[in-house]
Amino acid sequence: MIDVTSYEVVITSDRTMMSNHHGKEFLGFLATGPAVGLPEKLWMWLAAPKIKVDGEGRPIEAPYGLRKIEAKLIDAGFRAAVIDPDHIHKHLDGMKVLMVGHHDFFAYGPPSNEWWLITGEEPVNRLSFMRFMRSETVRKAKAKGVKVIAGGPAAWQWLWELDFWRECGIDVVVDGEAERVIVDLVRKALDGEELPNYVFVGPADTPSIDEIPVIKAASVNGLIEVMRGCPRGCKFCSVTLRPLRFIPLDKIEKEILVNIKSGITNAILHSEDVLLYGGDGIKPRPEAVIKLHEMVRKHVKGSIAWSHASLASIKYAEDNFKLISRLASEYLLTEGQNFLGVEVGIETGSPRLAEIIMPAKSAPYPASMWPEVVEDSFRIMHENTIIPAATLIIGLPGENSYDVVKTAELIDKLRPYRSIIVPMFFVPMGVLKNRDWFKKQYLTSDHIDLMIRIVNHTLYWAEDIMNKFYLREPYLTPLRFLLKLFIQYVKWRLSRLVPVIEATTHR
Amino acid sequence: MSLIVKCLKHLNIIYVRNVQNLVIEMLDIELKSHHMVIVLDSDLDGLEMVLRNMAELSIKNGFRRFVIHVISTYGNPYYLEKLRYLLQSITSYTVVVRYEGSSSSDLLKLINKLPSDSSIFIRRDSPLIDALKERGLNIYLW
Ligand code: SF4
Repeated sequence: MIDVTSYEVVITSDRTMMSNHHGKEFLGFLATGPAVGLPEKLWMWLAAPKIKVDGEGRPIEAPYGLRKIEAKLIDAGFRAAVIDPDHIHKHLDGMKVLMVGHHDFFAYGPPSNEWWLITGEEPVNRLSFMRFMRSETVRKAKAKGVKVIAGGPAAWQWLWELDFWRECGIDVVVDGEAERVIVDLVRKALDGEELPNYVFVGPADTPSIDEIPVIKAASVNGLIEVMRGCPRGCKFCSVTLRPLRFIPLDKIEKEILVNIKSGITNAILHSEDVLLYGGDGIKPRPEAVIKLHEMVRKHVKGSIAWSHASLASIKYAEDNFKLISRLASEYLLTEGQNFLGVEVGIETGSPRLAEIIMPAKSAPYPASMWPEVVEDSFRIMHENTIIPAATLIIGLPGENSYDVVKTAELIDKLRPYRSIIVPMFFVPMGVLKNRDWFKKQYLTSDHIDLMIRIVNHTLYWAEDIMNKFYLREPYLTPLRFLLKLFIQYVKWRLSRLVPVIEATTHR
Repeated sequence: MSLIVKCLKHLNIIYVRNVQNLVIEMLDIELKSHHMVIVLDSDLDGLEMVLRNMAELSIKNGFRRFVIHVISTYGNPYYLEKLRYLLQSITSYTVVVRYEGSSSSDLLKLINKLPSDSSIFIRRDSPLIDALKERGLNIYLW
């Protein structure tokens, strides 16, 4: 008989994280917005439906970061498990440590904060997480002395939510790659020792390849990490401060097999730049990338996606080795797959600004060529049925109206290429509480003009993508219908909103 | 904690002079850290000073890890509001933050436990400065 009280360490998150988003990772982005034009429950179902669990409440798929922590603790001999948020009450008796992780606990990260600023409404990820932490089970756990550890890429956000920190009785917040510290921390928590309040794991304590465990159970939508770190050194990015590590093929293979065993037939290769796997500095090496894809395709019969790739790598790999077309035709666009999704970063269309804040993002091409690099790689992706979701940052430090105009020009040039472009704001913390300041002092009419171009681009291609590629499975028809309705609604809202925003921004 | 684990931890004591109870209470990464005390009873004007001290210690002694012990009347966790810009400015080191109480006796108890080369950041008008100086600590005033 299964002993459901046997986990001393319960690892979890709220529903917006603990979901496979209908098997479509991109739909997870809906959880970063408020429920626009729909009841929250319906919005949550669209963005983050409940996930299948076993008798103990362990989800069949769980966020990769939580799986890594689970694996590390199991390897160290702890009785630890990822548990679905609706089922943690089953473990209340045995639980001594509750660990919560999130990509965006309080919606301070992109794109949640953009949604929040523009609509004035709190995104559902924030609402859902706070509701979970205020749930009766979490309160009971705290009352019986369970230690609460929060962590993940959004750990820093707790520093701006100290009332909530206190309300939830958070014992310690861990920021950064946790593999090297988490076992010790949990041991101390179980031994009842005094815990620190905050741990920031710096580059000296980033785990080596050997310290990174293999996940024990399936990750959401088959996401697996192929490397950590990024050598490009953009000034606004913390990933780049950490050493570059390539996960060996045999470890990647083991994780794919873990996923397949749980019935996950797809894989998302996670990296800041998949094409730099086994690379030579900032130059892709075709042999390493091909070997990786060969191995993945050997096992994965469904679709393969890349989490991120850099535009410079795409151009360099295709121009020098025809690598993108080769990967697409031989490994990616096979029977089970008719497109490949990837997130890419444009950030700016201004070579002047690129030179200042991200001088190596275009490497091996000079920063002065950045708009050309972006356009060429968008063309290459379009020709190979790779659909990018591109980010662009508005209000980067040092940005002037020339930079915004250059970015707008680039957006126009990208029009022929199938893609989603998502604007993000580079805003100081505290702005979320002062939306008037944001509209009056921060957004200029050039910004508005740029945003309108971006939204028009994205709406145009979103319809095309849905008609030809996305959510084609018959069981997803209702979802497709709702999303199409949503696109129409956004168009309608936008036509009314633009004059209002224009009237309240400064020139 | 098993005896073996305890013994292993005591081997680390070369990093922390003075006290063994500190060793037991701390994470392994803290044992190999430089210890700092910040007495926080107003906004942290000494932010630059703390960052400079970290950089100097990192260059001179190779420290890549710092433990920040905080004595503050703001209470736990509200003292973190005064520290958050410092914490967000640090990207190159591992930093562990501990709340150690609010009173002068908490401070004196704390410094008795810490290695004698610890850095202490305190307002220049604090009445505790003389007591701290007597103990030969590295005091930074703001
Ligand atoms: S290319 Fe992307 S991941 Fe790499 S440093 Fe720049 S922003 Fe960060």
